[in-house]
Amino acid sequence: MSKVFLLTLKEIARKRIFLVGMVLTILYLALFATALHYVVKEAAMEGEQLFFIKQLGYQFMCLGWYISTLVIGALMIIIASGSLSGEMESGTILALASRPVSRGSILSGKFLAYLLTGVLYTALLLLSIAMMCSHTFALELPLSALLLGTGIFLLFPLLLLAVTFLVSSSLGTMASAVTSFLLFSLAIIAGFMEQIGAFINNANVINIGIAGSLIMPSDAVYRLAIYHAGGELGSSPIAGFGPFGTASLPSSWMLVYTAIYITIILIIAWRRFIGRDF
Amino acid sequence: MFIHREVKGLIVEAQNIYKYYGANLACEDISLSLNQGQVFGLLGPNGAGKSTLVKVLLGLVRASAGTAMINGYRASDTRGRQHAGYLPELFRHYEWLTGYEWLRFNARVYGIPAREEQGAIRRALELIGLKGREQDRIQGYSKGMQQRLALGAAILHRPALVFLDEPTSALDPMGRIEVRDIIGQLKAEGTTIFLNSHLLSEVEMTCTHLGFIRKGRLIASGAREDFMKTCTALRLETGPLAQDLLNYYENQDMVVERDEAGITLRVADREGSARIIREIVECGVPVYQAETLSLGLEEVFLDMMRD
Repeated sequence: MSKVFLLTLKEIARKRIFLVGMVLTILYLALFATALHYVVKEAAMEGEQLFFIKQLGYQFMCLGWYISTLVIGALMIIIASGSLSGEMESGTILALASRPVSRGSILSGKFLAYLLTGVLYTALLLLSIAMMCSHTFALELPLSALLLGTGIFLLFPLLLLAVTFLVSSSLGTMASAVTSFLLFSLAIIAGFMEQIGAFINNANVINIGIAGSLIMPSDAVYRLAIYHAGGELGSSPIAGFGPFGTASLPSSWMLVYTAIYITIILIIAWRRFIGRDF
Repeated sequence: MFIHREVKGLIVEAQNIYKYYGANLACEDISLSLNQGQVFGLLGPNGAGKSTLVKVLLGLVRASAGTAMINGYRASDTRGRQHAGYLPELFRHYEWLTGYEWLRFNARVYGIPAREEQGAIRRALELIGLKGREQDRIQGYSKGMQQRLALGAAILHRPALVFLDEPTSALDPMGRIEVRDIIGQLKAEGTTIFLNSHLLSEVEMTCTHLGFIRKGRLIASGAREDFMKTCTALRLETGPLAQDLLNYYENQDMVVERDEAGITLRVADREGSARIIREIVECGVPVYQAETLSLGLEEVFLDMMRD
């Protein structure tokens, strides 16, 4: 497994998509930092206004993390969708599977390499945004809360990767990318519906959102992550404002559900990959 | 030198292999066994099931029924592949690697000890003629170079068994000769070779054993000499042959060629030739000249592929 793991890491490092992704991420962070700078340029960082500035800072952190879900989701889906189906379509899998390497080792080696990349990328991106917001808006985020939130958020790349691997073990590259994006989009819509439902106090809309999150719980992971990362700010009433906040906070059981969901998805992906013909 | 040679007994063993793709039958009741040192050429038209059979033996495709074993292990067991090499028909590489990196990856996967890794890679590079280009990315290689690299990766660890699926499909005539030499070298080292090829001359020159596959069925297999024996012909220059006699030979599917000067008939052995000459002479037809010809593998192949 370690040989496939290292080979996949080399593949990720050498593929242009990863390099382009890194460059765009740096541009995204630079743009975000510039925006933050101009938001607080003329604000007074004292007295009553400071409270609102901090709330604004938290909202910006929510925005930054939310946009990160789009960036991370796209990156995970794009680099992982071609990993299995792309190799099966092109025939490169024959060069690997005909060697004394078990299919389980191929799948787990590839998965862990992508996961490591996704986790490192996610952690760096989230912490960069959190530090920028914290510094600009004097947020004083507790480290334990920030790490807890980031830790919860790490379920996000894991979830996206598991879903993409499952789809990729059965469909072609393009079909698996499109299917994964559609599932991801469903989660986004479900998340928005849940928040809007809470804002207009409509239980039916909330329940439709929850049902969507059960199909693909990525948005619920984001909401719980941002809630915990904010510490006291996360639980303040103002945190509920806006589409990126937590007007309707998913139950903590959603994390357990997500963990079970990922496990089942991976078992199915494993069985499909082990049993298929190349 | 690192050599995998501990495999004893049957190197390849397939028993009653069936493979369905949906309703299509790609392999039907195929049984086959190869001993160490045999060079087996599997011949058949496109879509006959040659590549599928190789993939079943390597565990790349699951048989719908039957048992496939290589090197004493079931096809799904990675231990069997430890002593096997495979050059796929559709050879594709990780093009973002260099040739050297791909060979090194293979060396590690096949468990070549670190102290022998460089030697094994150097030997493979020399054998496949890619020395000097090993540090280039594979994406810059020509198709022929990529096929050579795939061959190098297949034989890097000096396996007991090598599957070569159309090993010269992307090579020029010089490259084909070189590959034929490599096969000869592997044969001399006692490597068992399973060769799928459309090039009958290639198979005729290198194989000790042959198999013929048609519509997923292995219709015949055995020693090459035995097949070649069945493919001798008797060329006779005679006077005009009576229609009855011609019909008699045609009914027995013996006529290879007929012209004004005479007739060419398929014969099994010398006695058969003598019998035919006697029959013609007894019919009062003069025989001016008789010559025994070898029809070659092409004729054997065409014969086998006729429904």
